Amino acid sequence: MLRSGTDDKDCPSTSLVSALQRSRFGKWHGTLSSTSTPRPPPNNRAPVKLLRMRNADVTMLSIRLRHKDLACYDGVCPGFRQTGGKGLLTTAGLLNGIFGEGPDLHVARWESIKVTDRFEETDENEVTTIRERERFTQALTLVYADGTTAILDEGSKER
Amino acid sequence: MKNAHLRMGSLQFTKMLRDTTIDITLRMDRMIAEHEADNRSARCHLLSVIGNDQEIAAIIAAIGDEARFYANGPEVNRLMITLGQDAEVFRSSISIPGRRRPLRHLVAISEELSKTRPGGNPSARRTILCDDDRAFLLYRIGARFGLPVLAEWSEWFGQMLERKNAIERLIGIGCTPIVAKGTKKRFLGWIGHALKRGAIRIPEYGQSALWQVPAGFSANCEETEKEAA
Repeated sequence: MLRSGTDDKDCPSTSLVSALQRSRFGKWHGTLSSTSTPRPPPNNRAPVKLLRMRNADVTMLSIRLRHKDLACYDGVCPGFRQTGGKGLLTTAGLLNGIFGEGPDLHVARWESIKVTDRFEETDENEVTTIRERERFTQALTLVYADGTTAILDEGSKER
Repeated sequence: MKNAHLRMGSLQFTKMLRDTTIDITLRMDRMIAEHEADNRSARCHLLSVIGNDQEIAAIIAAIGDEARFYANGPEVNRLMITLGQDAEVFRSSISIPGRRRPLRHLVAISEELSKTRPGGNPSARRTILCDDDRAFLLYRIGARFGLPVLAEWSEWFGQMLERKNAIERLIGIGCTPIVAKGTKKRFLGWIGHALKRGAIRIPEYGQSALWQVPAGFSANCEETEKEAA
């Protein structure tokens, strides 16, 4: 389960999470919401191992038998606290794979995208300063068993 | 495995200066090229050559100048190639027992090929791949565009590319390169339609097959070795 702490305002993926919650894909097993009940991790497909370090922090190490395997993981340990950002799970490919059952059966694929924010400021002397800031954000592509597809990113709304 | 002179090609660079002529010929173990519209020359996407310090330095300088080379190889007739603008170059050394100085290995890739990394050019319409294996094809396209794909769909995806004329063979030395034409939205549309029609399906309980893709460029050599054994 991803932590939803006080630093969420600064996290670029927050708007993506809220977009997910607004859309029909918000039923996405609750792994993106701090209020939903986490599902217990299935024993047969848990590619992560949680180790408790001396400083009581929880460090996650991805354990993969082969780098080519698509990791499939849902219901990450509820005790998982990751202070470095929420993109770790997605960029590591730990949230890629097959999820859900019945009509909600789908394949998910996360990717990291570099976006550039552009700001224009004009001062009292009518001098325009253009600032560009590059940052990474996450996008989620979904394919449902009934053929429904969706690309969810920062600016996406329900499709 | 075949002898080097049978499986490797050669790269020739010639430059006429005022008072001298530079003429360098290097052994080339890998190349990916694509015929230009005029069919006389070719756009090179990847080349891998081996030589000494001076030769490799001259080739790097020539690549920076967007110079033209002549390529020869097994099943490839003499071909004029260029890497174009913003080509990327990687160098390394190969130490050989009994040789006083190491050999230099140079790999150069075109700008288009360098952008096939994940997120490199999300709106790209073409993807150049060094192998025509169908599992590798789907795996790399999925990785590049962030497509939710499964290993079971490889055969179907290869057939779709052929049916839609979206796949084309390129000129290759030491590999069997192809170019797959299509954008992320196009491929995603194919997958959606196929799931709707039942041509492909998502396995229940998350039990998907593992990807069986070539791990590297040496895959062909390994196959040849197995055949020879």
